[in-house]
Amino acid sequence: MSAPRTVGRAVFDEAFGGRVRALLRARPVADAADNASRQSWGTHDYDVVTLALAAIDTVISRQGFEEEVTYDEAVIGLARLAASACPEQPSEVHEAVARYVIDALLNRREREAPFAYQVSDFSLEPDGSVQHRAIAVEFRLLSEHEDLQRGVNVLRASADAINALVGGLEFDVEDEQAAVELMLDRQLKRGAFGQAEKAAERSRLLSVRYSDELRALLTDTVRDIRTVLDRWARDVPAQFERNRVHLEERLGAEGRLLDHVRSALDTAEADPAITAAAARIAGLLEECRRRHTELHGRLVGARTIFLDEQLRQSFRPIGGLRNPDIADGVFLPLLTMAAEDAAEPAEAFAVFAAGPQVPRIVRFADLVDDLLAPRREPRIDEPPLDDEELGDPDPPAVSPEILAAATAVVDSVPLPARLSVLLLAVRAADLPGELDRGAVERLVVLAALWTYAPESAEDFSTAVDTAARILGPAAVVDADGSLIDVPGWSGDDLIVAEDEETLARWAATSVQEVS
Amino acid sequence: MTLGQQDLSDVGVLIGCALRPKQRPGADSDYRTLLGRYREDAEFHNAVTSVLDGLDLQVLAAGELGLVLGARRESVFAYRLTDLPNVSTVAHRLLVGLISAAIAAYVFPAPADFDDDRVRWVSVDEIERFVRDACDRLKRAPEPQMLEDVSFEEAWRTYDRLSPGYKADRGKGQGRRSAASSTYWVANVLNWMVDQGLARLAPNRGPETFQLLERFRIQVGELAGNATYELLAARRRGDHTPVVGT
Repeated sequence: MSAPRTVGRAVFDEAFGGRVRALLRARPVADAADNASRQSWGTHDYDVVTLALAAIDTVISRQGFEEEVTYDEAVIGLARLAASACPEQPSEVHEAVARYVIDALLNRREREAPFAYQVSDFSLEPDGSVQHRAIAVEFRLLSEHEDLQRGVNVLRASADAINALVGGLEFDVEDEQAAVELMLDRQLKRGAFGQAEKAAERSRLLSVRYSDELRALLTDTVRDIRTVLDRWARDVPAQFERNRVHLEERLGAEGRLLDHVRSALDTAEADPAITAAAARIAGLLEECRRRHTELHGRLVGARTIFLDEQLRQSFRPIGGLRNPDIADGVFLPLLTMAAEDAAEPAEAFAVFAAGPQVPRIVRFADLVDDLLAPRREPRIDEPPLDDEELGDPDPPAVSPEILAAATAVVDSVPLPARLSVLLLAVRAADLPGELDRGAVERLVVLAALWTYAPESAEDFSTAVDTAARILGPAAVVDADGSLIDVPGWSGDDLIVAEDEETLARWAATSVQEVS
Repeated sequence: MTLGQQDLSDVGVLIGCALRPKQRPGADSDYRTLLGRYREDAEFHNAVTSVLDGLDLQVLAAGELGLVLGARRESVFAYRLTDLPNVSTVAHRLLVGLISAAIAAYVFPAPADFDDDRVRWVSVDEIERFVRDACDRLKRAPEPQMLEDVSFEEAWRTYDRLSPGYKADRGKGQGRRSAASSTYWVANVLNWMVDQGLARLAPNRGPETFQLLERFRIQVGELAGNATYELLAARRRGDHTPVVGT
């Protein structure tokens, strides 16, 4: 089959896929706008697309600085924008809209998983037939990170988000920056402030991207220096030198531009629109310059980081350099090992993960104080007992430890079960040393007996509560005539079930077994 | 220049700060200064690592989070699981270990996930379901032919025996959750991680939901994961006394 003439050849170009992928970055925003109609505020005039772009911009504005934008700050900022769009709505709605937009960019609905889409890749075979492949594309727009200094969560925009916003820039950062500046310079001379402002905006976004590139290199270095050793040996020193020169130029150039804009500010008294634009550009350039200064500092420190990491990582065991595979290397093997063998390595994992614990040591002074302290007298001012309640003595109390032990044993046995099974479980159970095993046994038997045939005692509710706590709230007990075969006990071997239904099922299956 | 008494005292101050997981260099200028010195002054650096080595501790990270330390098993600073509430038997310690590993496996399913420092959240329910699913898969898997060892019981059955126990406990609050329920143990481990500075409660995200902190990523990624892997590998080789965490 030959390629259909109705399809343009561009579909088969390599650059075509790039365009598709660039467009795809806008999908989550479009989807969020789509789904907004299903929200309670969906009928009002909130523009989700604009708010989403504003959110990304807000995040980028402080990305890489000391204090990056937190989730709550971003919500407040967007809520303010939303408020001016629909002033008649209450502030809770504005906030809900803001949360909706940021959550959509984080993909919170799918637990912050990356956005995943499938795109088609068409290729033209030499024989003229069309081949189709489905390609999975995954990306994030915003993600949440822990600010290590402040301990709060901050938002960061991904390279995808930055690029999508800048408009699919795929050029070398340095060249692009130079081009933008040249353009800005010329535009200012021509007085084209609207365009100049756009260019300054782009220049700022490029600075953010540049900063992220450097961050990625340094992160790789800190993580495992061996993966980037080649780059450090060959490319990086030259690249840093180039960057440093470039930054120095940039700092100078932006300073000059700033002067230029300021002079425009002084002379353009005629048009207030131009004055305002120039002031905004001046602000932007100021921020660019701050960013470059910070980048410069990072560059200067980069070499030290490299040397530090080389020293640090050279003493790490080889195994420590790769990331562990927890799921298949640790968790699954632990699950499938014999329980007694797994206990030790499983405990080791928990202990290693826990980090250090400072041992609690008894202070001698405290100990002496405690020993010398006078014995605490029982409180004298106890309220006198009412005469009416002085009838029967209290039923013998069951200590909470015994109650807990009995509950734990019953919980560990799958119900329905015979009383004899429960009693054997008590005898086999791992009880704390000083606990009276006999008392636990008695309690289990009493609970079963009580549920089978409640006695008309005075204190009805306590007994019901205790039995329910041990055997479960809806437990039922029945007898089928078989006798108990546990030393120390005699009588019917009762059947304990969680509820009527399971008892009925148990009865049905045991009848089948007999017949 | 050799280190004087004041310098050695500073070494002690820095280690003291590092042993308090909730102390941050960002909020403490002394800590920040000493941390800077640790990173720049080779002699000071060596003094700190030597003292730590003597205490069977090692530095896992020295960044904005401060000095993050890992403890070898024999260290006096190694956590004793029996200090956890209700942990008294070997089976309990096994549960705590399994659940800790499950949490790590849940949030870092692949090795590459350790490189991503985005925030991770878990809830008691999610972890219970994650381990329960793993148990169910193992239950359905064909029985291995191991005739020679009849008393062999796999570790996952220890967890599988626990009831999720959620319905019976609904509305009664966490205090009433039985120690025989799996959710009790998951919550126990997560609360312990909060105490150790590895996680924090995230009440805005839902009931019993926790944020795992950067410290958890470091402890598991830099020490616990590989050290336990080595331990398991050594066991498979039949060597029961491997040297790990050095």
